[in-house]
Parts: sequence; structure tokens; C-alpha cells
Amino acid sequence: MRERPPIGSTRLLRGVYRTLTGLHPALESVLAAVVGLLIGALLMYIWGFNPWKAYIALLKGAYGGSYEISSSLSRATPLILTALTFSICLRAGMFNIGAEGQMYMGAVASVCVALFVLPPGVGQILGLVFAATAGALWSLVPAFLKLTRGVNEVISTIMFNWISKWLALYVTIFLLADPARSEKTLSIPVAARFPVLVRGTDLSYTLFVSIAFALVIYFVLWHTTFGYEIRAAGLNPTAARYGGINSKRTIFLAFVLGGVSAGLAGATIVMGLRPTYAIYGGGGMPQLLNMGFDGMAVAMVGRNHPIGILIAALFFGGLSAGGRVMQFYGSNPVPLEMVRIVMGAIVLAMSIPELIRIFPAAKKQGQEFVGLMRRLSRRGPKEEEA
Amino acid sequence: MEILKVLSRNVDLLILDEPTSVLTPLEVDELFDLLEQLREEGKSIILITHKLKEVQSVTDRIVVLRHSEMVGNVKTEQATTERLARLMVGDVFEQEADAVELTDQELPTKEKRRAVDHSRDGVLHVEHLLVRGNTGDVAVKDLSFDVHGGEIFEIAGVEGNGQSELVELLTGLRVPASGSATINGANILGVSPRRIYRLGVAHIPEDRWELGLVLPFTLAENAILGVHQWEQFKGPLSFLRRGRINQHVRELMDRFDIQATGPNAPAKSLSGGNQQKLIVGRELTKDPAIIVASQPTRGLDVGAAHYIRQTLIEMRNNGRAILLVSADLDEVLALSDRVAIMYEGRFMTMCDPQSLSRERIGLLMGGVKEAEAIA
Repeated sequence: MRERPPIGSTRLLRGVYRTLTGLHPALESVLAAVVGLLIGALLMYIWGFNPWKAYIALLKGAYGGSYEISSSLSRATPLILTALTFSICLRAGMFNIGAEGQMYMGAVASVCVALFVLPPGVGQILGLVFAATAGALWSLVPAFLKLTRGVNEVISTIMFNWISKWLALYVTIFLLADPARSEKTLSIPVAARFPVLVRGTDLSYTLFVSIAFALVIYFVLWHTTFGYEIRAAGLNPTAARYGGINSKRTIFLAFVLGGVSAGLAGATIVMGLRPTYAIYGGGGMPQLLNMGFDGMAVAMVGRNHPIGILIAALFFGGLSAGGRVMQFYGSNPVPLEMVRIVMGAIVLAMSIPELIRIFPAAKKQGQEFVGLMRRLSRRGPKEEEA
Repeated sequence: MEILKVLSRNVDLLILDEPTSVLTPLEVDELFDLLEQLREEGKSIILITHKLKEVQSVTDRIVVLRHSEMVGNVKTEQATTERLARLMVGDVFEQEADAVELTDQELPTKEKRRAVDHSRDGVLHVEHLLVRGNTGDVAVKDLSFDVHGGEIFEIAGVEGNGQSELVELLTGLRVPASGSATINGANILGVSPRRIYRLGVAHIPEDRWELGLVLPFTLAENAILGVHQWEQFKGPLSFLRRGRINQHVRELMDRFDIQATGPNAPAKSLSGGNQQKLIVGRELTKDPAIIVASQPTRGLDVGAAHYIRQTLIEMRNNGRAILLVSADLDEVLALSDRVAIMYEGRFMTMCDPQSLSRERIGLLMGGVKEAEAIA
């Protein structure tokens, strides 16, 4: 005889299910962060590190003083923008994985400002405009492929990331290289850079570009008809169509806004860090690398809301700034990779409530898919007869 | 074929749910021959269908279900078509009880309505319309009809006989195969939903969760779906005027008696009746020339259903044209000025519902033509 599962455990499971699916989104994010840190602690313990000391070092390195806070904020600056890229497109129902590539294009475009001699004040604006345009143009190609040929945007944006990476490297090495130091590009002259906000740190006025853009996106999404249409089409495309919303238009718009955001992220790095900073082609573009992908984690933890993203970016910026301190701290320092493990664990923990929530829907979709295949197979022989 | 797959498995009990809906008449005959063969072999077969002819041609015993209750269990040789139809649509006694209930609720009387000139083209004018369904089969076959201002034109029938496809076509959600359809003389075939709404079409959709509402949106956000581009809600730079929208929602909540905690309550927190009232309210604020309502009272409690019917009648009395699609016989008899009964993509008849008995309607919905019914 088959045994039934004991009632106690099903009730417990149901309770866990309710708790996990009924949480306030913000609380969910906090919980995921805690779970991620705990998993990190567990791994550190297994490998013989002292997690307590490591986290204290991390915390001090992230928010321990004005220098530390500044470097956390400076790392958060591009993350805010790349996270927005992912979130805007997700709100429109699209998975835009292309922030990384769009950011490279933005960075390269903003370096072009160094080619001109400009009156003060113009360079900054021109750099942002260049970067935004380049990012938007780069994101338009996957958008067009999606809208005209139905190409899956996940695949096309990932492929475009690679194209963009090598294209950016080519441009930095062969077209924009500094004649004096061939391993890097021309530096944007100080007059055209964003001034440093806190002396002695990497934090510059580009932080305000990020924050301002996040606020703009917030208003666009929640307080204009454009944003209304984007969100409606993302949440329920059929109802949006019923409501006279052209979802092709909303997808196009979301990709453009996302591209602008990612392009700006590239500009904030190139134009915001200290005066000598430029893209180092030889070193595989440090500072830029992975900022687009980390932005996706920030977007998830920030619940795809601009305000949530601002907070989540500060947290992730802190992790990466504090991680650097952690790896030099004490007699048995924890390697930097541990921070990336924590970040990964947080992303995984974030997805658990979502997975539980979509499980019934996914099951239903699976059944519908099977049903559709059956119907198609039923139609098959009929057509042969005809 | 799925059916063949099942048959090849050498089963003892076979359950078929509307097996003929995707088959051609010839294939249906083949299937039934096969079923009889199986019966001879001693297999049990359960056939679920709404087609009276099928029921009588192959079965031995018939069970009639209505509103999830078993209302009849008869041997096929004893069952006349009339009796089955009556069982399907409800007893005469019940019908009278319903009638009393309706007069209690004081429906606006038909006298109030304006005279309708049927010789002219209606607000909605449809000619030789052919529509394909999702699987490519012809769902609507060569329909022509008019809906005039000041009348409720009802398309009755068992669900899945082409009504949904017709409604989707008329509201711009489906592409036509051939034919023509106009609203006040303007073509609506192959035109985007937005343009069609501008011509004065309000659409109360069949599926309020998938089509009518964006469930995670708030009440306010749902209340402007489709009208969000209106001047009164849109400020400079396309900013939404939250204040005006909220005021508009409060008016809707008052006027249509929508029970909700406020304009910012998520639409999914509302009951089905309140969701439907929200949709009806939103669609009527469009000040439409024609209202296309598909199963507007399905799944609603009595109060909400009555309220929505009342509203439709008021709109009719205001001179709007109303195209109502319903599978509910009480609704057909209570509301419509003219009824067309749809079966497999065609109209079985088009007439004044008063001239039809419940049985006749039931027969027609089951696909039995008049001559056969008399014989």
C-alpha cells in the first residue's frame, strides 16, 4: 500500500509556502540578502576562515568611514544605471541581458569626447549624450530583431554583449589608444570630466547623474502614459492590446530607455573616476567588466523599482568595496572571490520565493503546452488526408 | 488523431469530451461507426456533448447536466428531442419562477424603447463575415447582420460555436478571413483596437482576467485602461493626472457600486462582481455608440448580474446599440429585443425572443433545425 505523506509535514510546507509568497517584496529582498550572507559565512567556515571577522572587515570596508562610503557609492553609481536597464525592459515584459554590451558602447563613445577641445561644461554633457546615444543604438538592434523577426531578446542581447566587448577592445586598442601609453585609451581632459565629490576618493558628481536618471525613470514608469503602457503591456499583453496599447511600441521604447541607461553607466565610469582613468584595453577593461551583469543582480534585489534599485546598489557597491578590504584583513584574509559567492547566493535566494510563486503557473503552462502539442498532432493527419 | 491513439491503447472505458468539435461531418460519421463497433465489443463509452443529434444517434442512455446538477437520466429510445431540450434549458415551472423574480426586480419595460427601423443599416453592419479560429478552422461562417441604436441584439448559443471569434473580430483583436463590417459606415476589419474604440465601440470582454483587466494593476490604473490617452487624464509631457484619475475612479465606484478599499486597491483583490462592474463602468464612460458585451454576467452573484443587466437596458433606452453574447437562456429572454441563435458558426434563426419557446431555443442551441424539431 502506498503511504500518504504525514499531514504535519504538508501543513508545515504549506505554511512555509504562504510565508514565502506572502512576504512584502522589500522584506523578501532583505531576507535574501541575509540568506546570501549566511551561505557565504557557511562556506568561509568550511574553508577555514573566520566569517565573523571577515564580515566585520567587509562592513568596515564598505561603510566604516567617509572614504569607505565614498568608494561604495562610486561602485554603486554605474550599478544603478545598468540595473535600471534590466528593470525597464522587464517591466515591458522583456529580458534584456544586454546592459553589459550597451555599457561598453557607452563607455567607448564617451571617450570620444577626448578627441575634441571643448569649452568647460560642454564636455560632460556631450559625453553623456554620446554614451546615451551609443547605448540606445546598440540596444535597438536586438529590439528590431525582436519586433520584426521575433528573435528572442535573451539570445540576441547575450550575443550582442560579446560583439560589443570585442568591438570595444578593438576601438580602445586601435582607434582611441593613448599615443603615450598604448595599453589604455586617451584620457578625457579634466575640464570635460565630472569633478570628484569627496577628495581622495573615486566618488564624483556622476553619482547625481545616476540618481537623477533613476528618478526620471521612476516618474516615466509610474506617472506618464508611456510608463503606464509599458507596465500594462509587460504585465498582461492581451489586456494591453484590448486597451489599445501597441506592445511593439512599448517594447521599442523600453529598449531605447534601457540602452540610454546602460550607455550612461559606461559614461559614469569613464568620466567619473580619477583624472587618469581611461579604458585599459590590455587589462580586459577593468572597472567596466561585469558591471552590466552585476546590475541585473541589483535589479532583482531592488525589486525592479528605481527606488529599490538605489538602495540595492548601495548594498552591492558596499559588498564590492568592502570585499577589497576583506581580502587584506587579518592573518587569514578571505579572498575577494568570496564576495562574488555571496552575491551569487543572494541572487539565488532572491529567486526562491519567485520560483515557489510561479510553480503552479509553470505547471499549468506545461500542461497547456502538452495540450497544444496534442492538438497539433491531432491536426496533423487531418491535413494529410486533405 | 488523438482519438485513434486512445483507441489503440485497448481501453475498456472511453471518455470523449466534445469529440466532434474539431471533426468534419464525414469524420464524425466514421467516428460514430467506430464507437458502435467498440460498443459491440463490450467497451463502455462516455460521450460528453451539447449536440442533440449526436446524443440521439449513438447513445444508449443519456444523463443531462445543468448548472452542475444532474437533471435527467433517461434511456435514449424514450427521450424525445423536445424533452432533452427542456431538460437542458430548465423546466417550465422554473421558467415561470424566474419570470416572477424578474418582474420583482422591475426591469425597465420594453415600451420605453424607441422604434427601430430595421430597413436601414444599423450602427454595426456586418456582411458575409468569415472568421478563422485559433487552429485555422472556420469559426464564423458567412454571417450577415445589423445592430441598430436602441436595441439589444443577442447572440445566444452554447459556448464555442464561434461567438468568441466574432467578438474578437469586431473589437480588433482578430484578423478577418473575408467579408465586411462597418460601424456607422466606417470599416472596422483589420483596424487596430485603439481606432475601433475611437469609432465608439465599448467592449465588455468574455475573459475579464485575461482581457478586461491587468490584475496586478490598481483599481485606478485599470479604470483608465484604453482611455488613458484621454485629454482629461493626460497633462503636459504625457504625465498622468493622478488626482483626476482618482476622482474619476471614485465617481465610478459610486455610480456602479464597486466595493473596494480605494482607488489604489489592486484589481485582483476585488471580487468577480466588482471587477466586472469596474469593467462595465470603464467601458460605459467611453460614451459608446455600440456596446459589445460577451457573457457579461457569467460567474457573477445575482445582485451584480442584475445590476449589469439593468445598466445594459438603460444604455439601450438611451439609444445605444448593444450586441450581447450569452449562453444564459434567462438572459436571452429577459434582455434581448432580437435574438440570433448561433450554432457552429452560423445563425440558426434570427427573431424576436418572445416568438420562441424555451424548448425551441434549447433545440436551436443544440443544432436541431425547425423542420426536424416538428417531425
